[in-house]
Amino acid sequence: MCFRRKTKAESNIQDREIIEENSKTIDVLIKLSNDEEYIEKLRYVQETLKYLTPSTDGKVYAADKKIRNIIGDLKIVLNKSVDKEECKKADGLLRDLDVAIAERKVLE
Amino acid sequence: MWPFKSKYDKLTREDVVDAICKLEKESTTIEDEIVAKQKQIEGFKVKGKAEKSREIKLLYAKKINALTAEREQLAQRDMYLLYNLRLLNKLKQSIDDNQFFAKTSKMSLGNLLGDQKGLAKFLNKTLNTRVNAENVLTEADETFKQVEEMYEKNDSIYGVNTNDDELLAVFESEEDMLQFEEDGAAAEENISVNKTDGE
Repeated sequence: MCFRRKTKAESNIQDREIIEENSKTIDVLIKLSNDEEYIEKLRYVQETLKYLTPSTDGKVYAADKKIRNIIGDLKIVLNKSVDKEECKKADGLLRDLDVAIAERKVLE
Repeated sequence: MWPFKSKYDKLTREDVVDAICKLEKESTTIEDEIVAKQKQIEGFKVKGKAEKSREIKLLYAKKINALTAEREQLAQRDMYLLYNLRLLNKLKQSIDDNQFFAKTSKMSLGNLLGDQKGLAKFLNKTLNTRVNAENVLTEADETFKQVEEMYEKNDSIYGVNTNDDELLAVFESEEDMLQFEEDGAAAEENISVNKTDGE
C-alpha cells in the first residue's frame, strides 16, 4: 500500500470550506437587509472574507468558526422585523464581526 | 464506546440558526396577518355602527365574529412559535456553551490549573518566599532598634551645665516680670471701663 503526503490544499480543506461558506452567507444577509448602510458594510466584509488565506493552524480555524457564529446570529437578527432594539443588536453584531475579522488577520 | 453518533452529536449550530430563521419568518408573517385582520375588524365595526339596515348590520356582525375567531387562531399559532423559538435559542446557547468550555479547558494555562498537587506546591513555595522576605525586613528593623537602644546621650554636648543653669534662671524670672506687667495693665483697663459704664 502506498501512502502519500496530503497536498496543502487537501490539508486546509476544512478552513477553506468555512471561509467559502461565510462569504456565501453574507450574500444571504445582503438580500435580507433593507438598510443601505448595512448592505454597504456587508459588501465590504464579504470582500475581506473572500481573500482570507486558509490555514491548517487550529487557532485560525477557531477564528473562522467564530466569524461563522457571528454571521449566523446576524442572520437571525436580520430575519426579524426591524425595530430599534433589533437595529442596536445588528450594529453590535457588525462591530463584533469587524473585530473577529481583524483578529483573524493577525493570525495569518 | 457506542460507535454511532446521536442526533445531538450530529447537530450543528448552522442547523439551529436556519431553524430559528425559518420560525422567525413565520412568526413575522403571522403577526402581519393578525394586524391586517384587526384592521378589517375595526373597519367593519365602524361600518356596522353607521349602517341603518338591520340585515346588513347582522352581516357585519357575522363577519367580525369570523375574523375574530381567525385572529385568535393565528395568535395561538404565534404563541406556539414563540415558545418553540425560545427553546431553539436555548439549544443554540447550549451549543455555544459546549464549544466555549471545550475550547477554554484546552488552553494551556487552563490545563495547568487542573494539576492540583502541582498548584498546591507552587502556592506553598510562593508563600514561603513571601514569609522569608518579610522576615528579612523585620529582623533588620529589630537590629536598628537594638543599636539605637544601646546609644547613650552625651551630657557634655546636650546636657545642662552650671552656666547654662544660671542663664535659664534669669530667662525664667524675666518671663515672670513681663507676665506681671501685662496682668497689671489689663486690670487697670477693666477698672476704667467699669467707671464709664457707671456714669
